[in-house]
Amino acid sequence: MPFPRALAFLALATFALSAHSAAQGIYQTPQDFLREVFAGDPPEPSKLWIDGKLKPGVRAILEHDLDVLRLRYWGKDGRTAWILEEIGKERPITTGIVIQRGTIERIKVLVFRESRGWEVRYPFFTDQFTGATLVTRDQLDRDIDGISGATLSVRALTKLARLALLLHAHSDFADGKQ
Amino acid sequence: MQQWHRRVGMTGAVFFIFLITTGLLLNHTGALGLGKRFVETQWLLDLYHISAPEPPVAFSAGERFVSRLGDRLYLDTKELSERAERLIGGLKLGDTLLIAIPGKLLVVSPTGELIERIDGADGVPSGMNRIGLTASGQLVIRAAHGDYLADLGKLDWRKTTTADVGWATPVTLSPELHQKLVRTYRGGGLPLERVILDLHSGRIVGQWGVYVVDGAALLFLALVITGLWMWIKQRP
Repeated sequence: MPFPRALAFLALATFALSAHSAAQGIYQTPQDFLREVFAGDPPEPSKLWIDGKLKPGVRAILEHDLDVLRLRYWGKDGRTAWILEEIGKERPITTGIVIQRGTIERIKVLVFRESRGWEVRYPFFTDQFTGATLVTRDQLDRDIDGISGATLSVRALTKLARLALLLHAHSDFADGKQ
Repeated sequence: MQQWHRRVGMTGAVFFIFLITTGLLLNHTGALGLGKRFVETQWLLDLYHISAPEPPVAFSAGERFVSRLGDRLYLDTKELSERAERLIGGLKLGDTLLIAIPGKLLVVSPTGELIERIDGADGVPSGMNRIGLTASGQLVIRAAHGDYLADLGKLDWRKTTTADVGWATPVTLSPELHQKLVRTYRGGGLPLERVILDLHSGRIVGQWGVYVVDGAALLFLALVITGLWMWIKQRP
């Protein structure tokens, strides 16, 4: 391989690798997300047991069981914040979701570990969830536009949005419980 | 020809029954759950050279034992769902058991179910290398940057300088429990499907087994040829 061509190949490979590594990372730590959501003063975490009543709904949304029996969440004045994870293709995507009175207030990708599909972190995608609620069969009340090349990440985030709404409805901060 | 056909049929009958049976079983692996059922017969496990890594790392948690063998974690002899490359410690915390593995604390029920996984995202100090309890029963974590008093209810981690900590230290398992653990570990290594597949192909007894099954296949071929030959000859 002549020298200039080898150099160009090396430059391209370096660019591809740096783009790959830029796609993965911690965009915001869960602690910072919670501080931001609760104006610097997050409440103490509450616990939600995934009991027999909740389990079928969780399984229907995720298409598998959760591998833990209890989840933490943070709640105050009818709002709850959830740090949830779901695998896109191979690795879990950590997502922060805030629910207020049964609707999604915001959803944010906090840690992305997959090699593809990181576009789901951008507001042009996550803003679609704002104001979404659950309707029959634990489906969102709207269609979420996908992103080509990020199908599995889109699917994972949509599942987590539905899951957070379901969990909120069973939390101590659900409508009518406070 | 009829005599040869009978001889070949009689010679191969045992093999044919054997191959048909194992073939039918393999055809319904999913329905029979053969991939999820594991062989516990010791001589078969020895035949497959399935052995447990030595020695297990174990911690006493109340009257229970938390241990790691290979990358598998056990509560007594019950295998837990989590895998780990290292076991940092285990102890009894209230009604539950707490297991520390790199970067994570696992809250486990007395029956071995994973209640909760607490990790760096929940604030577990980085570089955790020991866990222990104060005299009053509070959890202490030794991490890369010092000791932390942990409140798992509030997910609160405060630096501490207390010296009054009973650290979880590795223990030696009793020979009985060790043996049971090794048997459990080996018992999870060989699915029934593998054994039936190897029986069907003859590989269970090595290359000679494959030749024997090849011989049975040739006998079956001879049976077909002689059968067809007789049928053609008897046609009017």
